[in-house]
Amino acid sequence: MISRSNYVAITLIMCVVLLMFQLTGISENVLMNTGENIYAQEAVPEELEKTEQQRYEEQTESLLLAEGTEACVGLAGPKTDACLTAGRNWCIAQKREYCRYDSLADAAADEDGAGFLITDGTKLGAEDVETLELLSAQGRHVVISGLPEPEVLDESPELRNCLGILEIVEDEITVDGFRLFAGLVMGGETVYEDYEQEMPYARLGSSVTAYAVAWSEEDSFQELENEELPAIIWRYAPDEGRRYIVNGDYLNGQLAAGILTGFAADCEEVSVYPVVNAQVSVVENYPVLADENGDVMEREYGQSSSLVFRDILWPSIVTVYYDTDDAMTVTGALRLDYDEDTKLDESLLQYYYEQITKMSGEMGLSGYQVSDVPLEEKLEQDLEVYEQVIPDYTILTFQAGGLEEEEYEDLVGEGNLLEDVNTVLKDYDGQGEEPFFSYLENGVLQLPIYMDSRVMNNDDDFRSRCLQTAYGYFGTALDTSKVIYPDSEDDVWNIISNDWSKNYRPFRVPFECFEKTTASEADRRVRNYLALEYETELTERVDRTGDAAGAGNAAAGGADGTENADGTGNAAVAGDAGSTGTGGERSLKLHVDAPDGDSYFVLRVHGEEVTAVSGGSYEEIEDGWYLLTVTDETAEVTLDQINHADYYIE
Amino acid sequence: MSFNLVTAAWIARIFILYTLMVVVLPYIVMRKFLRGRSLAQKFVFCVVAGNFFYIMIVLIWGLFHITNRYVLIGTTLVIPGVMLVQNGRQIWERYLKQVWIHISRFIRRENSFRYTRRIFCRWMWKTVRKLLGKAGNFLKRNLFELILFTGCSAFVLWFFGVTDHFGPRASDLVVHMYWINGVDDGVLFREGIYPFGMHALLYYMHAVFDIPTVRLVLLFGTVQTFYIFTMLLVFLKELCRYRYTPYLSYFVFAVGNYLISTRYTRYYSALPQEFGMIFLLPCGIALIRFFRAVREENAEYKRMQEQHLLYTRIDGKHRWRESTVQLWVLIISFGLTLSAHFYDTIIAGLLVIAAAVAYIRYIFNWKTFRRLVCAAVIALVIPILPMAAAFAGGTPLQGSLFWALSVMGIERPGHETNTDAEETEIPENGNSDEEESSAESGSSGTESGNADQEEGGASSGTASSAEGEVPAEESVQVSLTERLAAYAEQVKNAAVGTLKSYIFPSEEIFQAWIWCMAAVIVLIPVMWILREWEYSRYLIMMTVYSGLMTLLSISGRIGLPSLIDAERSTIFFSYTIFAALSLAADGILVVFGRIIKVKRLWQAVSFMMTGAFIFLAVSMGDVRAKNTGSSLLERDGAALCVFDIMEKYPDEKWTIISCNEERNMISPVAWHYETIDFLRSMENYSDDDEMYIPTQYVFFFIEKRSLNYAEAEFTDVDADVSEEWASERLPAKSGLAQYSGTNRIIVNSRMYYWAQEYQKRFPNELKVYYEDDDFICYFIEQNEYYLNNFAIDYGYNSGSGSSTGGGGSAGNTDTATEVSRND
Repeated sequence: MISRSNYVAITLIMCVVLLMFQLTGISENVLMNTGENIYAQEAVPEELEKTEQQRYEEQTESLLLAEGTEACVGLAGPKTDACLTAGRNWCIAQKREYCRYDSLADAAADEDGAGFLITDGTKLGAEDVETLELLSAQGRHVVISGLPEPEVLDESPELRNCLGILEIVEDEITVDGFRLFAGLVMGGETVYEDYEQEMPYARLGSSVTAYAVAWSEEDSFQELENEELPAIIWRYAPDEGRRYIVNGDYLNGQLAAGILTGFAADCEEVSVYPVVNAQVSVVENYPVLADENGDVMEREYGQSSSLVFRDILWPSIVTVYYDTDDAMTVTGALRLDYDEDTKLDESLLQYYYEQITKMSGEMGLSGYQVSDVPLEEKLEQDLEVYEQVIPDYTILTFQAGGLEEEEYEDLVGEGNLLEDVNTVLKDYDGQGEEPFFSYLENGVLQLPIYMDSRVMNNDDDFRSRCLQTAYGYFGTALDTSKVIYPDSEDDVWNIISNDWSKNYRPFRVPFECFEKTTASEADRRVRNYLALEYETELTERVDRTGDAAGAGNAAAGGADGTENADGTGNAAVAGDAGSTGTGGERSLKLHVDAPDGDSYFVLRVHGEEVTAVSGGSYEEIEDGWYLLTVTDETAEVTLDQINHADYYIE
Repeated sequence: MSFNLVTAAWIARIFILYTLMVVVLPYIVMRKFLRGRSLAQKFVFCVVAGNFFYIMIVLIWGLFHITNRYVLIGTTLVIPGVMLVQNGRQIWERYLKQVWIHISRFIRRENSFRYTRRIFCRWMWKTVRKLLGKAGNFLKRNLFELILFTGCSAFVLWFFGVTDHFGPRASDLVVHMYWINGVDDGVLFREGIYPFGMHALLYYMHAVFDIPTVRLVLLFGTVQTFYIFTMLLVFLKELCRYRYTPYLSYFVFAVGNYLISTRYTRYYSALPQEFGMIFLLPCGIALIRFFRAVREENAEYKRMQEQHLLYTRIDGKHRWRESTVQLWVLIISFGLTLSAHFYDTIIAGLLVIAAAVAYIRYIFNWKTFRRLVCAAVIALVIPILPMAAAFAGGTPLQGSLFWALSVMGIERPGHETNTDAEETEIPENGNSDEEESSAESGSSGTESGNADQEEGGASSGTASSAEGEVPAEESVQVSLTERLAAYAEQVKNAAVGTLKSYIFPSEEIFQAWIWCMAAVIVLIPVMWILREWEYSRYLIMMTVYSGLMTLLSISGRIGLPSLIDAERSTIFFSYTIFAALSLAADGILVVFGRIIKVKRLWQAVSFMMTGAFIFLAVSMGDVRAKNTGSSLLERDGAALCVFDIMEKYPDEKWTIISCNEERNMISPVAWHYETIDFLRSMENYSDDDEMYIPTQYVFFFIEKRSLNYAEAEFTDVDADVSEEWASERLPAKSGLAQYSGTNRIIVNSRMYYWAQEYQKRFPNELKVYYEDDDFICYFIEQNEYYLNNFAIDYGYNSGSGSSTGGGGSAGNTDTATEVSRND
């Protein structure tokens, strides 16, 4: 027997539990019934959009200086040099002021000029030795993209010496891959066994630090001492001014941003630069509502394509997204073949909308088709279906894929067919001269998708490391159109999904700290990133007894005290600041002017660690690399030397 | 965190562990056996047996090369284990059965939690009350003595606690570290056969408690000094009749400022000779107790014989007679002196001779004599056996043994003694015979400060002896009496000179001691008159011992073979020299005690006398001022860094580049590279020079103000690193000489400017790990796959401005620079 009061209490509890479960479902249905894009309200407001673009454009213009300053980057050589284009793009992305010199000699003549120079190394000759030595003596760092021809190096031991090369063992060798050491870019040490390249065999001398050395399975390689291995990327420090040499063409494209970031961070004891902090994972051409390529679908899956997409692909996709915690972005192509008037199951769109919204995902529109109808016509047809099924859904993202900019620039953005679209996902162009992120004239932002979710070869990994180091941005996509129109035997879903899930996790673990976002969320962050301005201020280290560090190290030169950043927010921390002393704490102040909320930075330190942050938060990416989230206008990061004696003598 | 505090905590830790090992655990094991004995006796038994046990198990297992933590712990637990098995039933019945009943009832829920808790609390309260009661009784009986002992001991621990400077205080400490670490590798006598007692004990502590050898060797000195000093008190307690008179001598020696300060300097370090001193006086105590037991046993035998009760007597085969027990204490103590240091054995021998003279009546008893001879043989065999076994196995004798023989005037066959350290080629690893010899010959850094004084004393002594000598042509004419008189004068002068120059800091103290000795001598016949035979023997023993020690100290000056140099022998003499004070005071009280036979009165007088003396001494400022002085072998900062690095960085992953001293400190866990080799690898720099250190972490130790190694701080030259010194020629590689004198400043200056240049090029990599006014430690973390080539042109090694002291660039041809390790 239970008492009446107990009976009432039990009944009440059961009702509450019932209500709670029911409410969850009800609220979900309420949300679904609106038929809206849950990210529409979070998209950048129109007026902010314009302000941000304007700020970015003004900033881009102001970064180019007529005369160099110590804190700016100097691009030495003709404008057409690929490495200088990459250097310029990198400067714009990282808001570093830059100036141009006709040659290294000009740069050397400008004694108070740029402290960090980039030049094309393939054009160097014996006549440049003196210039390079002078620059080093001036304490200026030079990034050299590519080596001069082997004959030039053979003829000039001084030039070899100038580049930290002890000898050119062979003019050209083919190596299987390379070993990338930790420190230059994020991701830690790794070996790329399948990254074949031809290069001169340069054996390094003293005062060098190798960032990447060649790797090969050949016996002759294996027998070599590690320090004798052909060097690919290294630093030579003959004096206060260092030289960063890249034996190859890695600085001629978008990858340069990551490597240059690593070099720049190495020049400074504390380096901080803004990043996007977004990882976008897109399923391209999903869903397809039409039943297409029936023969192939029947043969491979025994079902029509719409059913395959719903019953086979969707569960797999959901599993991967659950497993990886990624934010779902799908770009639907309601049809792939617009020439064939195949049946289109419109009810599926509602189904997908609900499923995707439950996954907190976002639906965009893909511009891909296998037919040849004009893009505008294709999009009109697609929009018609959207209008019918989910009329309130705002399409914010357009997947341009491999389309040329001319093809879609008049179709997206305000006043155009896809007027709500403010993000275009485009394919990555590794050798492109344009900046990594770019605006269309009408303010639509283009986000590059630089990874194929199915593939993770050595070059993909290296690209991912470099670009995430530079931008804190990851864009990957899986093209499901291949399921209906396979290009090869491997384009069957079991293999595709296997490749996808296999490659997803291991290569992204080092970058897990970056947030997973939908394309629209990433868009907002990128806009903010492009428009933000910041300044840094590094205070003097205070040793553990409370005195300024380096007091006893008379001959070493003490800390320089507070170092102010330059006007554009470039963290110009002198290399010798606080380099002596017993390792007390010091702080880095960040004054941020961000138009749209939180901003993100990567902090690179050497032998130090972040102990506290006010005005934001921090997360360790890996040794020496931190992700800072700045929520206030000013954030203060407290740094402490890691390796120091914990004891003192009274 | 304060390193001073950490060091103090380490000393406390080592002290507690050692006390647990040699006092508490032996006491638990021998509890039954020790029942009824005095506290002093218990202490002696435990310390002697404890040390003997740990030393012997290391030596025995060491001979089989199976010394490791588990073997040692297992062996240690054998005896308690056997005891547990033997007395299992008793322990079960007495302690555990009831507990188990309560626990099982609680588990079966027969007893409630409250009831169980009540039982437990009641038992706890009862136990605590019992303990408190015991402690209260003990305090009541020994309060004043406890205050005296605690006060003096606290002073000893504080005075000898090296908590303000941290480097080694004797150059041979690093050699001892090296030998001890050798046992880790299964090698008992790494550098040859040497008395290994202290090393074995420290190895035991190192292995079982996982304490780094460097910590033990640097800090154990304080602990062993406490035991040495306490043993003196125990010895005096054995001799004196009144409770407080021993504290007179104990205070004077342990706290007072009545000896030349250098007599104490060796106590700062864990040196084998000092370790052996712990067992010196137990020999005397055991011998006295032995003779006393023999006398009582003989008396009992006679009594039983007279009463025809001999048939009731339990035969010696079935019981341990007290004399046998004491004889074993003597054997073990004597053996321990031999296993620690030969000098201790010599002194122990003199003490035994002195006791034998005092108890001469018993020596002439054949049975006693036979027992003593057997004891002597066993006492020699036990410690020598492991050494003999190793010798038979092909291990040669360690070089310092030959040095000791050379001091005695015995030359090593086919080997000329070279005492000039400057000319001796000594490998910088500090493991050579010569270094140990030089260390043995009194290289304690802090002693050298008094070198002038000592030398002055010695020369004055020599002058005195010269004065006493008679010209050769006249000697033919002088009579034997005159010659004897002259010789007696010479002996007297030598004795006075030695005592004044080595032991007593002032004439007044010397005179006071003379008066005390005179009183002791006068008291001898007085005691005979009062028929205080036993007491008179103590007086005789100490008088003879003092005489022998004086003779030993001056033997070199009076034409006798010198067994121990005066520098060392006077340390031993100083240890017991003030026993005369206690004996004189105590003897007088004994005389008065025979006149007015109220023992309590004289106890009170002894207390007042001691109290007054201590009060006066303290109020007059006759208390030694603590002035540890920094190590002349290593900067404090370097010692701190060694400790810090060893604590934090994984084994085998780091290398220290320094001037020699740290080599053996870190040898078991990491790597060391000599600064001189480092610099020479890039001397006369050329582009293809290579200098690789194949570990992840590399530390560079640089003295910003160089030590005058093993001498003192530089006073005549500016020892700070400077461009001038760096411009000097790099010293030739020559053992310790390369780091001695101004060579050290040059090497440190070179290294400093190398670091400056390297840091200019690699500011993000080469960081300052620690820095103070005198010392700086740089740190670099390397990519192990692609090592840094440390060879650079740092401005002083280009060859144009400087040249090497030999070798030059030839040193660079050996590019495969390997980090050396002591294994």
